[in-house]
Amino acid sequence: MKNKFSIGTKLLIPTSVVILLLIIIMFPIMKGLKNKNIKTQATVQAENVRNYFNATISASQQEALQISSSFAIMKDVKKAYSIDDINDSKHFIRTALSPEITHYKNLSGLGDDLKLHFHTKDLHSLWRSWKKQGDNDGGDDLSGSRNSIKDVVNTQKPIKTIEMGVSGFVIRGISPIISNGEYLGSVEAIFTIDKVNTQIKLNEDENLCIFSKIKNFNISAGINRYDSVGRYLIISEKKGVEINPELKDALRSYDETSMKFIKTGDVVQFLFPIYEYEGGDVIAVGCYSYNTEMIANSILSLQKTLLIFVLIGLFVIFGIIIIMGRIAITKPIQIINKDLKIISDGNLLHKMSYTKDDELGLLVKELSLTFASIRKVFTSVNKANGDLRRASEHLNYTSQDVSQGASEQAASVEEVSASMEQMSANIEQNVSNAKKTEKEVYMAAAAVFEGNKVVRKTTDLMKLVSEKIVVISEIAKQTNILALNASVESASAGEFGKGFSVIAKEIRQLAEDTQSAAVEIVKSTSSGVTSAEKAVSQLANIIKQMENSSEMIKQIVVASTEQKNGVDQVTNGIEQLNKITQQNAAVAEEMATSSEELAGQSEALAESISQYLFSDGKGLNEELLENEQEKGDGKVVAKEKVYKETQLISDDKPKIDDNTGFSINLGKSDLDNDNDFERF
Amino acid sequence: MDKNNINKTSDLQSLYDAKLSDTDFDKLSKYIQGEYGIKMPPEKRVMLQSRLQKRLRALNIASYSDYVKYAFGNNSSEEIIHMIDVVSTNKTDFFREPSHFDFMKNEILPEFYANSPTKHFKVWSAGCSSGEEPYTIAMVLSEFALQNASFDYSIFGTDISTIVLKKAFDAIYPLTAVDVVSLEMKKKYLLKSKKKGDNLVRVIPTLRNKTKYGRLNFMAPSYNVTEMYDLIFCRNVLIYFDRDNQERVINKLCENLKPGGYFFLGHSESITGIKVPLKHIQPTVFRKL
Repeated sequence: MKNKFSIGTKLLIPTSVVILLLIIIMFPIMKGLKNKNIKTQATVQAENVRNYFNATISASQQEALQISSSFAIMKDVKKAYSIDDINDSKHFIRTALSPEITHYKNLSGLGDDLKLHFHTKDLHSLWRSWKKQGDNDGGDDLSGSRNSIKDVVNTQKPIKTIEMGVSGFVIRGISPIISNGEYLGSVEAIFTIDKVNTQIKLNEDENLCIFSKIKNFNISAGINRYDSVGRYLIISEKKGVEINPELKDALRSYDETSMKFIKTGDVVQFLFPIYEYEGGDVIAVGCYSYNTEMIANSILSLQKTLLIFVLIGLFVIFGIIIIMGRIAITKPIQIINKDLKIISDGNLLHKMSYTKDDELGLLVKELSLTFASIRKVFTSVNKANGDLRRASEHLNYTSQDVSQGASEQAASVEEVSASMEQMSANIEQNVSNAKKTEKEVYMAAAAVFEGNKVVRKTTDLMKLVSEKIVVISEIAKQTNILALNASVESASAGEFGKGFSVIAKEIRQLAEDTQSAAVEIVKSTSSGVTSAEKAVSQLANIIKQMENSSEMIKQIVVASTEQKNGVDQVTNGIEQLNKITQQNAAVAEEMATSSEELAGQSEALAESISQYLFSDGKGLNEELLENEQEKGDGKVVAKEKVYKETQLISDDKPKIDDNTGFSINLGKSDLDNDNDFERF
Repeated sequence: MDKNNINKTSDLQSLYDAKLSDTDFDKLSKYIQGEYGIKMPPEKRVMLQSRLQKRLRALNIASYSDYVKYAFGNNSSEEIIHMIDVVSTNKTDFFREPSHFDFMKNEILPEFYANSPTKHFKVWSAGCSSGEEPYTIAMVLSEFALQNASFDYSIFGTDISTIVLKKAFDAIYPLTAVDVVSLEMKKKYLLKSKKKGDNLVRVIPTLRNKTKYGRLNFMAPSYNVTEMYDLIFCRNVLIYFDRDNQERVINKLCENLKPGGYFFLGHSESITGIKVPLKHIQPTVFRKL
């Protein structure tokens, strides 16, 4: 099984990385080493060449000196110097030395390279052996340029030197010519740089060139024939030398004391000072250049071979490590992992199969013990949870009931409270009505009383009238008698009394009418009085009754007020009760919700526990909750929620159209959804 | 149940600690009283707080001030309906105040049956709550129908709370609620639940068909009711209103009451001191002038 982070990979990746890093590091290191190697090698080579070069120069100088000193003691030479005329002297010396010179040319192998220059004691050139006759072969003044000859004149000792002259880099050996203690002049043998160059054998990848500062030239003539590099002129070069910027820079800053290393790509160059003579001044700068390409390649191939061997070695070692790792670590761990997977999938009873007696075996032993403890824990948790589940389910239903009951109770109490308030309001209404009635009764009583007064007055008036009527009746009686008398008198008056008797009759009639009227009046009056008196007494009764009513109404008001007070007390009490009841209802709901959650959590715990197999035999508990089914591997099915009457059958929410008047859409009609119900 | 339980519990805790502030109570009280007529004096503050808790829990809101903002915010109309649902008091039983049903059976129905050409008796249960009253009426009227040929009836139930209206519509009740119903009537008019232990009953479809329900706010300017009724039940619902509103409501209801039609009030209610076109027959029984 290939796992992303297997041990093998763990071993492989770092080692691969290490190898990769090594390889990556190797390159610069190798390059550095190569370069160092090259430098070292080249340095050694350069030093060798430099030494050889210097030695060759010294040797040449020595040879030049030898040659010049040989000539300095020749008799013919001394004889030539005794000739006064310089031309004659020249002519003599030319002729006399010709065979000697030829002999030396052959003997030394120098051939025409053998150059001799004779000088007079007053620093004039006497004869140059290599010049043709008449071709500037002598006679010129050397005092301006030839300091070396001056030295010989002064010291009368031979010197070896290098000079930059007309012919460039020349090696000179100058010997004084002395005869009988008298300084006659000097002679020098001259070698050009070619002599040195021919002797120095270089490989294809090597080159040697010589620079010299312009100031070293004692003659300005002929400088133009040399190429310049800064203050230096290129005096000599074995093969063409490439003047690259590095060389330029190096020359510019060269201190002419020690060897300077310049690297330009594959070409390394060394600058070294060339002294006039041992212990003398620097007359030129040598440049040994070496194309390191080839040795670089050889070093590189050597390094590559080494590297390959090292890498192979490393691979082998790591390979062994990885394989051993696989065998001793990875495989056992895979076995253990298989077992652990079975356990983590839920089967805590599974036994682990790795039993070897090594560290991993010990690990397995400890794991097994751990799982045994875990099984114990699961068992006790499961048992406890079983109890908890039962209890919390019970609590859940109970608190749902309590909550339901509390809600209903709260609604009831609220209704009672509202009813009480209504009653209280009604009573108040009654009281106010009663008070109004009382006022009206009082006013009516007052009116009646007033009426009574009026009636009394009427009675009195009537009595007065009847009294007056009696008087009138009397008067009428009297008038009647008078009229009677008058008619009698009138009768006695005869004719003249006819009119009078008519009048008397009339008067009598009137009096009778008056009397009967008076009688009527008296009748009416007395009945009126009787009625009035009845009325008075009845009114008096009425007033009494009204007073009674008023009293009763007062009592009603008082009683109603007391009643209202009583009702208000009860209302207050109910209100208090109501507050508490409402709160209780809310608290009961809290409880119901909390216990529902508790039941739910307990169930969730049971669910998660049921994923595991941790006790021997089927099932988890001896007692299972109602409505649970067990499966073979110990998983349980959760109990279905019982329909609570607070739930609605239809899932459609009622849609409210508007807030004025009525409007409602109660969703689908479920008239045909009576499947859950049956007849009584 | 999921792992959110822990969060839920602590949320619940803060919810249960929440209090209704003075300003919020004032706002709510004024609104409920003004728009729906239900009296909400300071004494009812605890009740209001307790009842609103249901809404906070349902909406997962932790404070009353947040709830007030939500209720009066953009989704006003929907939440207000839920709010009124929980704030309104719904207490009702089968055969409550049986004297009314006796009076109906003995006095109103015979007279109606004798005089009516249509013999179709229309009843309005104003404040029908969860349907016990309409279905009680239905049972009594059904009994009458058995004795009197071609007698028919229809019942209209209204309430402010949509929750109870749904219950009325479904017509499912716990067994204990129909204890007052005689066994004979149970057999005739109720079904019982097949599931043992449910202890539920349901009104038979025949009766259910005779009822229809709607949501009605008594404080609305117009009730949009077109029918004229022979009898209106308005019992123990006006106790929550003040006197002026009581007068207004009764008058409005009477607009849909036929002349000579009957009006029932609850046992603690009266029309003393209010101007309505009703005359007193006996306590809590009135007739339209």
